[in-house]
Formats: sequence, structure tokens, C-alpha cells
Amino acid sequence: MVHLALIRGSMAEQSPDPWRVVWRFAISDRMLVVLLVGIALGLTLTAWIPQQPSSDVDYARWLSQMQARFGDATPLLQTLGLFRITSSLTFRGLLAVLAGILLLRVAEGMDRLGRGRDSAKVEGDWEEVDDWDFASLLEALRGRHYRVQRASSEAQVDRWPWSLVLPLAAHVGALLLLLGLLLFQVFGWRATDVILQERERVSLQEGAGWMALGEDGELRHDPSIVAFLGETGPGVVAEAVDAEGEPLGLVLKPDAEPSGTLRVALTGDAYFAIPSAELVVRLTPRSDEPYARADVQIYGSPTGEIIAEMVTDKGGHAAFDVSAVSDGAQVTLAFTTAPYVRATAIHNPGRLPAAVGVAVLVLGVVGSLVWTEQRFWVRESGEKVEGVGPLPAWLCPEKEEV
Amino acid sequence: MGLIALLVGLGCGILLAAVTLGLLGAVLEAHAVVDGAHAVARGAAGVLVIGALLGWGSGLPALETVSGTVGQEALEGPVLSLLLMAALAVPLRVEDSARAGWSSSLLYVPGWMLASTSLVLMVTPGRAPTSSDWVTPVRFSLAVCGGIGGRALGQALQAALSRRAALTWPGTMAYGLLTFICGTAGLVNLWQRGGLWVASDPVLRGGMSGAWLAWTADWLMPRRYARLGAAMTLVAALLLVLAAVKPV
Repeated sequence: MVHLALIRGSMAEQSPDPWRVVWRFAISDRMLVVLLVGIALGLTLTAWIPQQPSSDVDYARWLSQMQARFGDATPLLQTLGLFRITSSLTFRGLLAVLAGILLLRVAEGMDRLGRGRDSAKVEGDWEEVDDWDFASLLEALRGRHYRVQRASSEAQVDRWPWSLVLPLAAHVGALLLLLGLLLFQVFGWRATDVILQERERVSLQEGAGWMALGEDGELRHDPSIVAFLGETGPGVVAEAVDAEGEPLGLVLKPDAEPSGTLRVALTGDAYFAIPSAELVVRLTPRSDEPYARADVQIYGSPTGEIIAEMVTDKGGHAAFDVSAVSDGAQVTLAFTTAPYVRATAIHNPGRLPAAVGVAVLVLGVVGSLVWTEQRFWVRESGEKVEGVGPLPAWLCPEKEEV
Repeated sequence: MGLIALLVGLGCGILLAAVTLGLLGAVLEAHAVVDGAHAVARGAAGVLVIGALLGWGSGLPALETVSGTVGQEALEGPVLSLLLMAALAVPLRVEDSARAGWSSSLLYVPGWMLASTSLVLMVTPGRAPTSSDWVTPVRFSLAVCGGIGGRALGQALQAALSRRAALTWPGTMAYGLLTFICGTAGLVNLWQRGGLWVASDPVLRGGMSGAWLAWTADWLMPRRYARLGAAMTLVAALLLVLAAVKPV
């Protein structure tokens, strides 16, 4: 029985702690490499396979483009989820695992940083370092800004703390970046293709923000959002007065309240009505230029009969006199040019963590590339000088050859 | 045919000669021939650099008068990036340890392939013009990065197909530069547009991020798997080159 207990005790000592095994596996470089390759593959595919737009408006156009491009393979690609790579559960799962692993590596790095102050045990087999004597080698190492901790005929050499701090910074930066992306995904929103004309203000996301275009064409917005202007196009401000110079109400949509002044963005054919004169006006821009001329057709309502056809002046200005359908009274229509702009607004609560993360990540990676060497040891063994660990290339040029 | 097409054609020819001489020198075990091959390759690099400088500079107002001579109309989009990458992908100095043997010819293969592709695109009539303005700081930086990556690709080829280790600095430099470019582009976008890749075209977004992650994986790859590491460098460099030339 005593013998059996001894064997069990010995086996327990020899068998590694499963948690330690899992920890080592999770923080291993191999695990990180596999994850990064998976994420890189997904992201690279998005460069060649256009991803499905989030808005329903753009979906039909996108689908027809994909069918023209990929032909019969489109349904297969769709089934494989290759049109929704970054929004897929697998891709997000990979990012989540990456975040978890980075967190573990940060914990490990902090621990190593704490332990790095002390001398560590020699790891590996000693190999001869040619063309050096011990004293001049230590001098050369100090000259190259290595930290050399000498104990009699042996010395521990490292770049502490930079060789640990910089990779740690890269990990922390990557974590902050992922946190920024998560915050945007959960709490952020984006409004694209918002059409604005001069002196117009629009409310976004049910009042969560606003944007306005000033007279000078400058975009103003809620301080909690970031907004920027995109492409511009033609537009007009329409007004109508009767024979006595009284303004007439204009409506863009059937359920809208009549307004004396109407802003019309000419993204395509545009219609508005003058209910009191029983007229409908159709505007067709001749090009996408901001000050393009537009064809104006005026119809009687509800007959649909064309009453007048005209073209706005160069620059988009015009004034026309037409007769009202109901009583034949004169109606004067005036158009003033007012080009539209497409604007995008973004509310991103993860902007600051992401920006700090990117900066720290770049600093950590570039710094790590400069200070690459990890800890190694050198010793004087009789006439020879020996080294162990990841020796720098300049110390043993023959290592260049595999 | 413009001046640049002639220069690129000349560069391609000289590089091909360098590869052939390198192989011949290895077969004959004549070190003088191998040394000659490397000297010839340096000449090709010089010719390609002149071509690339003329190509990128021909759009400048100061050089408008020569744009007809250089054949600027053929230099649309990816051709410009390919030219610059080809010029930078040719190593100017080859270490003694990497010089011996047939495999040193592999160092010039990426440069030759990039130059040949740009030449083919230049002389092919009826190429679809690129929709966006190609000469941007990001495109230029990516091409520089891709050129250095091309040099790393040649060394990875040598490491994968022979038992010679690659020099690490071209790969390290390509990765460091790519990190800096991606980081700067991301920060500028975050500041101006509120998101990391908002309103940037998907090709650059996916290509650059994918290439950067692949380079990161390559950098983290344990060095004891030399051939696997070389294969990883190969993939990362290819991705970078593809991202640099892919039109929107």
C-alpha cells in the first residue's frame, strides 16, 4: 500500500497541472498565429468579395451587381456566408477569442515584467561564441544598450524592461482597439447618405443627433457625432406666388403641410404640387453637377395635361409665369439654385479607446521590432566564451544559416 | 511606346539575365559569374528606379511637358504601383551567406515578375481605366511597403526552397512600415470620420488589414519552424502586393 501511494504521489508530481497546460496553450504564439491567420483570411476576402450593404435601399442594386459579377456562383457564395463575413458569428467569435487571448497574454506579460527584475534560470544549451573574449563581449553588449547582470564568470543579458514593455504595449493597444470596435457595435450608430441643402437642419436617429448645412456651405452638427460631407448634386429652392403676389403653398409629399418655400434635392426626377392652383411640377436635372440646368414640366392636376415645359437658366435659377388650372389666374414660379450635399454622421462611443489603442499598438509593434532580442546568457568557460538563449545575429553570424 | 515602357522592358531583360547568370554560375560553380549576376541585377534595379521615378513624377505640373514622351497615358492605376514595387523589390546588396548556390537567383524573381506584369499591362491596349485617382499618399506608401515586402518575398522563396535562412530586415521593415501606414490611416479616419475604416474603399480596408494581420502572424511565428515561417512571409508579402495593386 505504501508503495502504491508513493507511485501515485510520483505520478501526481510528474503529470502537469491541466490549468497550467490550458494557460500555456492559450498564451502560446502558435495559438495567436492561427487566430490571426483566420481573421486575416476573412478580412482579405472582403477586399475581393463586396459585402452585403446593411440598408434595404442599396440591397437590390448590390445583388444585381453580384449576380452580374459572380453569375451562377452567387447563391453558393451567399450560402457560404461570404457576403457577410465581418458580420458573421464565426468572424465575431474569432475576434472574441482573440480578445480573450490578448487579455491572458497581458496578464502573463505583467507577471513576466514583475519577475524580470530578478535573475532567471539559464534555459537551453550552451553554444560557443567565436571571436570574442569575455570582457570585450560584455563591453560591446553594454555599448549596445543591453542590460548586463554579471555574476563571476557568467552574465545575464537582456533589454529589460523594453523587450517586455513594448510587446505588452502592443497587446494592450490591440485590446483597446477591440474594445473601441465593440463599443461602436453596441452603442454606436451611423447615418449615411443624408441629403442636406443650404440652411437645412435634419434630425438623426430619432433625435439622437442633428446635422445642418450653413449658408456658407459649412457642415454643423451635434457635438456627440462626427459628420463629413460626401458628393454634391443639383438642387433648387422653389417658391410660387399668385397674381397678387401672395405666396402659394407647395407640397413635396401628399401628407405634408403646404409650405411657402420648398427645398428640392434633384437626386433624380423630383415632383411637387401647388394644391391651390391645381398644378404639379416635375424637375429633371440635366446632369449631376451641382449647378446643372433642369427641365421643368408643369402639369394640371388631376387631368395630367402638360401646361408648360421650360428649362432653368445656367446655374439653376429661373422664374416662370403659368396659368392656374382652376381659375386661369397667373401663377409665378421661381427657382433659386440650392445644390445638395450627401453627408454621413457617426456616433462612435468607442472612438477614444480605439484611437488610444491604435497609437499604443503602433508604438508597441514598431518598438518591439527595434528592440527584438529577448534574454540570453553568456559565460567564460576556460579559454572559450559560450552563450545560451536567443543570441543576437551580430554575436554569432553563423546562426544566419539554418 | 513610351520611354517608361522601354526602361521597364530593359529592366526586365537585365533581371532575366541576372537570374540566368546566377543559375549558370551555380551550375559551373564559378563565383565570378555569380558576382557578375548580382552586379547586373543592381543595374536592373537602377533602370527600374528611374522608370518608377519618371512614372510617379510625370503627373507633377513641373513634368507636364515630358508626359507625352514617357507614355503617361499607359501609366494608369496598378501599373504605377507595380513599377515602384519592382524597383524596390530588387536587392542591391546580397549577403555572402545568401550569395552561394542557385537559390540566390530567387532573390530577383519577385522584382522580375512585378516588372514583367507592369510591362504587360502597359503595352496591353484597351485596358479598363481605373475609376479613382491612384496617386494618393496611401497608395504610394503601400507601393513602397509592397516593394520592400517583395524583397522579403524573394528571401522567403530562397529560404523555403533551399536551406538558407532569410535576412530578417526587409520583412521587419515591411511589417514596421505597414504597421505605421495602417495605424496612421486608422487614426486619421478616426479623427476625421469617426470610425477606423469609415468611407475608405473595401479593397484598401480588407487588403491592408488582412496583409497587416498576416505580417503580424509571420512576425509571431516561432523561428524554429524555418520553412513554415518562410511560407508565412511568402503569403504575407503576396497579400501586401495584391492589396497595393488591387483597383477599387
